[in-house]
Amino acid sequence: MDMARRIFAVFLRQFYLYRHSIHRWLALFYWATIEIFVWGFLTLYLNKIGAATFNFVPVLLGALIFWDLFNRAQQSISVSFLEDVWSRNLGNIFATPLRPLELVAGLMVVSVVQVAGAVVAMAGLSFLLWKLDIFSFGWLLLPFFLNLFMLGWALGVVVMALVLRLGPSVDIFAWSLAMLIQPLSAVFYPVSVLPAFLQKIAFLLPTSHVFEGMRAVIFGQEFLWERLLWAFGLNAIYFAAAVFFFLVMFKSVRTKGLLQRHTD
Amino acid sequence: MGSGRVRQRVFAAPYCVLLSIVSLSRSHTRRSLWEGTPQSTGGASGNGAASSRQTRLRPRNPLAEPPLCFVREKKFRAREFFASSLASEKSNVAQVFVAMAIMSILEAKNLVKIYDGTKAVDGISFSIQKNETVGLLGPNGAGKTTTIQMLLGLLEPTAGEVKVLGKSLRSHRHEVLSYMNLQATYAWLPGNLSVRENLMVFAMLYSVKNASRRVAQLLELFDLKELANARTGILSSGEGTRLGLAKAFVNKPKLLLLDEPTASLDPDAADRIRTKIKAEAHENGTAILWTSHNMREVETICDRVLFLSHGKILAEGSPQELIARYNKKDLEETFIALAREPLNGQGIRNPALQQVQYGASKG
Repeated sequence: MDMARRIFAVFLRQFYLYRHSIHRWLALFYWATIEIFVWGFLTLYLNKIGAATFNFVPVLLGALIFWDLFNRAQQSISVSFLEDVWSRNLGNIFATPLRPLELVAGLMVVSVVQVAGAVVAMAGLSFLLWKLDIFSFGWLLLPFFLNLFMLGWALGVVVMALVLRLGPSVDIFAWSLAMLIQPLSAVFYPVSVLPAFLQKIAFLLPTSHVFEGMRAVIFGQEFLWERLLWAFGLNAIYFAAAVFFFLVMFKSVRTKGLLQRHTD
Repeated sequence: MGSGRVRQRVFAAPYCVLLSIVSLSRSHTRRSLWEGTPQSTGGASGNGAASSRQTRLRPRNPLAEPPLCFVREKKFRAREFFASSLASEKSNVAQVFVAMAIMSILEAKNLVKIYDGTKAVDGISFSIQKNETVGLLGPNGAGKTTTIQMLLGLLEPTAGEVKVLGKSLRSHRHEVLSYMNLQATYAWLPGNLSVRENLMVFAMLYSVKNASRRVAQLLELFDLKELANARTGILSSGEGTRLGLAKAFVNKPKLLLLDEPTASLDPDAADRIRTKIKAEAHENGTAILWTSHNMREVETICDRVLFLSHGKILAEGSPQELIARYNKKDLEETFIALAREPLNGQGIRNPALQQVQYGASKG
């Protein structure tokens, strides 16, 4: 019960923050809206020059929405943590009974709420503007959604650890880490277009399995269980490694006295 | 003793251990702790049906004689504590031992913190009792904040141990932290949350039951009611300090660490804050570790002072004791003398400082 209260407190802190902040709401939806417009027009153009042999809308716009889900899951955790770093509140936070894992859990809840809001908005806009109904694919996409969340959380926790250890000057990772793996994640194209040696690396990323699997679902092909299992397996390893890394960094900053950097 | 007040430095625990051993040696039964025979109280003084069955036993009152230790006159009433404990029919020897453990709110043993070969804190040991206010003094860089951060678990000691209510911070970190709280000018609260929201968040983090009610109490107590919906970032220094204190009391801590709580406040505001802190701490039985550079404040508020320099405790005692010991006019002069003497390289003239062996460790 106490643990639930503490996790809720982490969520409540972010909820209060957003309640007061219009620009945070705008940031949540602004880029999503712009992207839906830009990529929507692009798919229209590609459909036109492709002479209706291939419908780009679900492939590109669908991929965009799913990638945004992953990107936001990572950013949400990282930026929410940074809010406490920027407000020099970490000393207060870590002097409470809140466990590091409870902090991570609380930020995961925050990310689910934020991502759900953004994805619903994007999906709604896509439906209204481009007649793309991502929910028409049904429950088959849910396990892939979950995998995208898991990798987003893992990367978010890595950013938290880096900020904790290296200080707020490395906050750039909060916005760039997910993008680092985009070229190999096969978001808008299949893994098969990559050079052979990069394909091997690509399949070490859960995102490549997820997007390959999701494309199959969108094209109405068979459900790729193998891709899903690979994604879950890799994600389990990466998430556990990220949490372990965070705990090691937390111990390290307490030993080296680096937490004072965030409080002095 | 310059003040004439009897000050105590020896803890009650050793005495109580001795008491329990003596009691046990006299009898193998718990009855030996009592005089007289069970009687019916008849319910006259009663608490209803339960009291009618209550037996009135008078404790043997082993504390009737002056204790082997010195017990602080006002704050630390060991006699009353144990008398009340023994007066309950449910009391037993085990409870006495539990009570003994509880009396020392904080125990820091041989705390050491080394950064890159430099000793920031050099083997300090001290304890704080229930309701006691202890001043942690020292010049800048003496190791006060490092000590406080170690007590809060924000900094891992290189060696030594911190115990709160008998529980080790290392092995029971999260439980121990729930007994403590902090107010420091450098530990800011998020400026983009309102006063009430900040208190709510910390009430939840400390798992406070009826958090809304507790927050309302604190808003009232620290005169923040009018500011409840104001953004924390726009508060004045005094208002911010009051909010920091309200947050520090949100979990009714058994141990409160205050790092210069009245810095940047005008004398009137500082006085009001001190009064509030003492009142609230007294109500909750809170022990306080208080750092300040305001020596008048320390003289007024602290029962005991630890003087830290270069990571070591140079002197310890009540403000009046220290003033008398170093033959100074007030605590400020004492502070200056203590701060300068070991640093001037002229040798340590004061016998009280000779044991410090400052030169041996620092060169």
